[in-house]
Amino acid sequence: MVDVTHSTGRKDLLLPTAKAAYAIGADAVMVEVHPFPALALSDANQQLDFQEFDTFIENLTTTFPALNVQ
Amino acid sequence: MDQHAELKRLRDELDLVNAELLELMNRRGQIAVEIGKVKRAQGLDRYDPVRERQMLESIAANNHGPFETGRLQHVFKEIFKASLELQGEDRTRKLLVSRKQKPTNTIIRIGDAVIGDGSQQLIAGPCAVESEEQVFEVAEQLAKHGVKFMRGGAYKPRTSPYDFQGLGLEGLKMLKKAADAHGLHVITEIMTPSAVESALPYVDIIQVGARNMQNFDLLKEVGRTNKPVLLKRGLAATLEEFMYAAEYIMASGNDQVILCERGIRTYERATRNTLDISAVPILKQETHLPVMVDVTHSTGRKDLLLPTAKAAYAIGADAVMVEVHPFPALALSDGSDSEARNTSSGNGRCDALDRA
Repeated sequence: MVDVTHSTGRKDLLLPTAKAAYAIGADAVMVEVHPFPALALSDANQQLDFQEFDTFIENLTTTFPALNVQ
Repeated sequence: MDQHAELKRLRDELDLVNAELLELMNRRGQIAVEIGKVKRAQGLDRYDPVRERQMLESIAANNHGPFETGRLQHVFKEIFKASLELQGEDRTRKLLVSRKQKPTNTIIRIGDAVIGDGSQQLIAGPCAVESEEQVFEVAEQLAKHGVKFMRGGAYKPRTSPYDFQGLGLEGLKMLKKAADAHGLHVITEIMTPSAVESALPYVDIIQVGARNMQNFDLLKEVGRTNKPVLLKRGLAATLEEFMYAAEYIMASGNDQVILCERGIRTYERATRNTLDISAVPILKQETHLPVMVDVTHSTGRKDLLLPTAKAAYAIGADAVMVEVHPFPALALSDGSDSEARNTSSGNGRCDALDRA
């Protein structure tokens, strides 16, 4: 699997790298989610808030309809 | 006074101080903006390390605690940084390659073929031009699959001076002849400024190789032509250096630049280089130029060409480049990474791949 949060450290790269990971054959992707990333006690810059997480999932399931997020 | 009331009083006081700090910070910000304007008018650099050092020294001189001087200086350094950001557009804003400068994608058109319009293109061909027979065979295969761009090296930058150095202009003529016969467009590397002019009639896209990414004379020379330029990332170049290299071409008048990620040097030895896949979305965000991935040189392994090509398209690359040779084992260069023609099919998953 691929941890897209720690490999990039940048929120804006989580979606494209997750797509690349699935496309190249990764069995899973790991991503950090936090209710208020700005207040997180660690990794504040790279965690998704819930709204961003919604968009992330929506975009991924559009590209990879078989994605198992249940 | 009970402790609760005392805590509340102290917190109220803290809130007042926060409000004052906020006020003061923004006042400082306004002054910094004014200073920025004056400096711009005088053509001065907004970052002045000497002045900054004076301010930090004055903090040391006037600090009576309880905060430690080092800690305070760190905080002030952050404030200085924030003020600098306020003062100025960051330097990348001014670059011609920057998406801030031109929000729309640059689209490269060569005849009927397009790179950068959202379609997914494939560029294939041998590492080096070896004979007319070889390039004609490859061209036929590419045309059969609907590929529109044929790569092939006539001038070869080789690690060892005793390795095959390429057929030069004669090789280029062979490549063009084979490409014309099959309706393909030629991409080839030019290594020296003096070879650019003589090569132009035989080239549709000029490639500047990884080892020449910071050959600034060459960048300027190809920047003066009207042919699209495929610029490869240097094997130890940061993305910023890569973008500045592209800037050289654009600043010389040529806005038809394609950026190519081709792997960078890391400690990993399982692949020839390490494919920096997130370079693609970063370059797509920060520049308006088409971005492609050379899967052959970034991996140096045939078994990784298909998965990395899929990853490249999935992450948003406009094109993928792959080496194809009739008999890789007999190739004069890159024998272990030229994909044999029989294995070059199989672009299964990227349905949008433009092979029409």
